[in-house]
Amino acid sequence: MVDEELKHIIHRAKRGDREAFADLVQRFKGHVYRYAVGMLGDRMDAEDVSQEAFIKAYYSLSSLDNEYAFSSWLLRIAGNLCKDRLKKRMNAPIQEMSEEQNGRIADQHAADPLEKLSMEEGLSRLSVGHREVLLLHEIQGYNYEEIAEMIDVPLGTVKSRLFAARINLRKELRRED
Amino acid sequence: MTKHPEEQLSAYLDDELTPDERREIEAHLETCASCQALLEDLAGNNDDLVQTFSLIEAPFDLEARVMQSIGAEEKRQFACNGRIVALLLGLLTLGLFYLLTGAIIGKLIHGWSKLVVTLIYASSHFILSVPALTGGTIVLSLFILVASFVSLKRLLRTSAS
Repeated sequence: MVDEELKHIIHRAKRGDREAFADLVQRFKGHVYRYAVGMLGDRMDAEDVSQEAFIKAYYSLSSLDNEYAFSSWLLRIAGNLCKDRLKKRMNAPIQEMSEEQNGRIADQHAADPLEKLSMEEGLSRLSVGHREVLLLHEIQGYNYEEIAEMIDVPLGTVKSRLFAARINLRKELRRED
Repeated sequence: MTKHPEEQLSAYLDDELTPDERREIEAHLETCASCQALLEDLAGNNDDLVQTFSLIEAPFDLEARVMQSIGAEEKRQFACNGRIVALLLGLLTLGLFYLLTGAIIGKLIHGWSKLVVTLIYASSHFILSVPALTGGTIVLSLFILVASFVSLKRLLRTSAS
């Protein structure tokens, strides 16, 4: 729940108060940055995307109808920027993420079977869609309904995607066993 | 329950089941060691994930960089707008100047051209009225004519070779 103080700050930022917007950046930079790190698996790229996301948010803040939805709106901006960057990185369009196509993307580079994967590496081996739901749920703390709305998929898809993401992550992390 | 309700386990972990579904899973868990192990694994991985990400800190100067970019962008837009305003103001000034002084400048140009034509007439009369000056002028004209002809010929020869 967004408290009244935060609502007031968002309201001020919407009217062009830069100091209020700087306050918002300070409050939400951790959320955006962690999400970008998880999605991109790279600190430098995550910094760029976070900065870009806040700048984009500043200029489109007037289109935000509901102040209570600020954080999910901001994360949606960051998520789209991350996907754009991943698309560029792969130099090929990301396919529509249906469950069948939601296969592995990052698993191209074969890992040393003896090397134990860190959590970040394990995460980076999941598909974009799996990383997305896992991060939104575990790191950002959104429930299934909120995630369904944020990424525009049915609730059942969030449930099955999250399950698949966990099973795949477990598989990646247990690989060395 | 013959099948392992694995997908439900993930939702159970997230507390996203209805009370009935929840009871069903709990009953299954009591009798199924492999599902218990899976649930523990999934919960453990979740904890690790949360732990890993709790250590990631955003750059301390991120807000400064964001605000700097926004400031620079707005300054650039302001300068761009300023240039357009200056151009419009300049055009407006020129337009006003023309409207106010256009008639006077037209008259001035007309007067000057008349004066120049009159001076040319006067000078030709003056040259014809003095015989020495007439002769001198004719000689000078012939000299200029011959010199032009010679230089033109030389010019044509050099360009042909």
